[in-house]
Amino acid sequence: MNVTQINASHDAVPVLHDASIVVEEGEMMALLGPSGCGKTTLLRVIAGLHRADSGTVVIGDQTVTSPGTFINPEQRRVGMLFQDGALFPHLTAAENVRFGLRGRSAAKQRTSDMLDLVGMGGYADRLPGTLSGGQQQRVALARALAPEPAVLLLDEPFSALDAGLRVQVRRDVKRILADVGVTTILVTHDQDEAFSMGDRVAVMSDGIVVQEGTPSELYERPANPWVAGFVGEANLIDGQYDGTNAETAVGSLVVRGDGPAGDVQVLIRPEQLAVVAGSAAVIDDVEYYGHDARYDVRILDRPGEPTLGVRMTLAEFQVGDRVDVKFVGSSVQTWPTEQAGDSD
Amino acid sequence: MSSTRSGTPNWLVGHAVLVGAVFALPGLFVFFRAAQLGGDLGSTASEVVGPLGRSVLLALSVGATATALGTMLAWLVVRSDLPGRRMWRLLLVLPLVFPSFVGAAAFLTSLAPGGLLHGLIESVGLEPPRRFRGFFPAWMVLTLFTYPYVLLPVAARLRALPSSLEEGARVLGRTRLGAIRSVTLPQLRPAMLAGGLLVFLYTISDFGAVQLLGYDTLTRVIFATRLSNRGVSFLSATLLILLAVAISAWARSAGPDQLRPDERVGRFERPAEPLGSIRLVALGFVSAVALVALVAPVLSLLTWSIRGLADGRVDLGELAVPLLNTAFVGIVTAILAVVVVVPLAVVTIRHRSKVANVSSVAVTGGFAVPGIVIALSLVFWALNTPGFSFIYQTFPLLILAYVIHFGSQALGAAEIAVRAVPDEIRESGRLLTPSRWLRRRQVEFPLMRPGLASGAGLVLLSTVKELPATLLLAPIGFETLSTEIWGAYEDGFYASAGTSSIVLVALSGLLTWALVLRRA
Repeated sequence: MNVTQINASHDAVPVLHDASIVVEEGEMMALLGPSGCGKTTLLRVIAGLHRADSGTVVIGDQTVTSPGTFINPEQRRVGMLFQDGALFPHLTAAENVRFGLRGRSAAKQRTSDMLDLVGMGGYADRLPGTLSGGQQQRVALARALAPEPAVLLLDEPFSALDAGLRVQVRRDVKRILADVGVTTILVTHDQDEAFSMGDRVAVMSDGIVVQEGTPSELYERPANPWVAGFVGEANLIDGQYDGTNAETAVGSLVVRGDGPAGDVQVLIRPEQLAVVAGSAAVIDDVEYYGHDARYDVRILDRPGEPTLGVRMTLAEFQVGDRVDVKFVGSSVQTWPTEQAGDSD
Repeated sequence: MSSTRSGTPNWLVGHAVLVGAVFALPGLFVFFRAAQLGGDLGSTASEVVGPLGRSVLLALSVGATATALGTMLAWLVVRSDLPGRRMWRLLLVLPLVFPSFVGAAAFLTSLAPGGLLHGLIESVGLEPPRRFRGFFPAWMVLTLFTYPYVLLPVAARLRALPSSLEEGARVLGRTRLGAIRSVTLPQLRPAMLAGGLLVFLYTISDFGAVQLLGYDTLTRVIFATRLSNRGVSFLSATLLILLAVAISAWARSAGPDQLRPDERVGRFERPAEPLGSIRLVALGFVSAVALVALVAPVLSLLTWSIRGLADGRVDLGELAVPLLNTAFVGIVTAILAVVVVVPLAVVTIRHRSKVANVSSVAVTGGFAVPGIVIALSLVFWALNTPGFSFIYQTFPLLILAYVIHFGSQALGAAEIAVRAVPDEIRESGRLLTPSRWLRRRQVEFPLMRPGLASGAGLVLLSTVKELPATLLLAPIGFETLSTEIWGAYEDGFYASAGTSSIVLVALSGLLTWALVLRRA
């Protein structure tokens, strides 16, 4: 599926600027971005629920949106799972699933197969109001998959669920979608969700697709400091780059890739740092998580600089302890200081 | 609930029983008198069969057309890209401010020689209709002034409907119309049913419009025979009550739990549905409705009124007394109704008392009983009960009739007001101060005030527009705007009727704006 240079607006306020993504057959693509970045609008443009001002959407070999072409949503072979499930409250679970199978042979069999697939076979005659949030989302998934859509669109489908339930439903949905092998786009503002569900992730900001890649590419090689901070905790510290290494407060670090020498901003993930007993820094705060702990560390001879976040599996220090900070990663990402400043 | 459930104070239970009894009184008295007909029942019944059929026919017809019209208009002003739909949203609700008899009078005076429509028709060389009476005029006039009762709830439902439902249907292969039919309409059904029920009840209760338009329904029969043939009057009244009960019960059974409105609210301001080529047709349609239901009646009343003021036949000063009287009875009724029903709301909601539930049904039923039936019943109850006849044609009886008729509106609002103070809030207030009075004044009352105010306002609005009970029960010489308009029209003083009507419509419009439109 190809989505190319989409521009779209709400009430004449532009929300998408040349947004483009490519999704391979059978792939799960996560669209990640803060609220208001236009990710849901992009999804609705793909579904035909929102008319783009310009740009092209190609699903399979069919052009569904382009200048001069607009295929109605009901003819796009798109499945959609809404945030609230959007089950029709006056129809039973089975009637909801069968809704999209009108006029097909063996619709009844397909309906019960789909309900079985999502583990809701025993609830065929229940009305949505009598089902829990997680059950409603399962039925909604069965309904979306029943007509065998070319693309499945998921619009923050787990955000209305309780935290505990969310992880469970997420896993189940991922397994079901992997079984079915349908091309999927998931819209979410939750980085955990995007990384755990998506084969690839597209990060959006202010109506633009900023970066597209696998979760590890995004985490390890973010395109700019904003992406770095959005997909995980980021320590951004000043350094001087000499062509191979960057001199920083935590030592001389190997830099990935290349660029002009000079002042740079250096990205260090908290797990790339460690603290040992020492004197150069002090522990400001400790957050203990069981499997690991996070320290807020202030380097004493760098007043005015933000504290460093450090993640370690050992939790042997307390607030006020004097420590030294060590770099324990392999290499770091840098950006020239001016560029970093611009993108803030 | 557990903290307050035990130990319902006796006075609250006693109050609930008393209120229930008083509200049930008119209905029970009517049944009692009808039962006394005995052997005369057969001959009396033959006299009311025709009016019963006409009442049912008119109410069903008006109910159906008002529901269709109200739903269509609601969709146009909420969901479509109709030009100027914000303005239409307001304008199309305004016919609500016309009491039906004022609306009917506006049409009649407009078609009378010297009236606006009469002149208009003559000026294009046609013969104006000599009579505007019977089924079709009554049907048309009542439809035009009742469809907002459907438009308002359907529009509210349409606004609250999550956009994802219709979009889900689209993505699953339905066309725009198909999605509306298979998903949206079933979701609107409860609102349409509720609005249609109101219209039906309004129509069988209506006295003013059918009286002026000469369509012999049960209410008109009651008015005509109340002095000459009480058997017919009371049998008609009984039939009206049974009709109201039957239709309410049917509506209840037709709207089971599965059709309970879905309360979820959509996330998006949905893009309006493009009307495309029928945009102009739709614009013409809403313009026509507004023209006939709003502009024409107002202009008609205004022309008569201005003519009367210009040649000195109408003196605005003479309206001061009816206006003050109207405001006075309205305000007294509003306050009294709220005071009477609040303890009942407290006892049903906080104490879940069964006795109070029965009383609530009696109060709610008061709305379905036509005003003329309540008035008829109270008149003869007062005259025939030893020791009570002094109350006939006094304020207390008039106010009592109003409170019984409109108490349900206050009760609905009072229940919302009581629910606005959840147990947790009252409990935390209790932990903070031991003074019950302080808690009531600083916590409970401020939270309840909006609900109580809207309840009182609704009662005030209804009382101001009421006609038949006022005609039958008002103390001799006590003129309200309604009786003033009625009298002036009956005597052929169209200019005077027009002026009073304009004042009443303005007053009612002001109250409607404050109570209904400002919120919606």
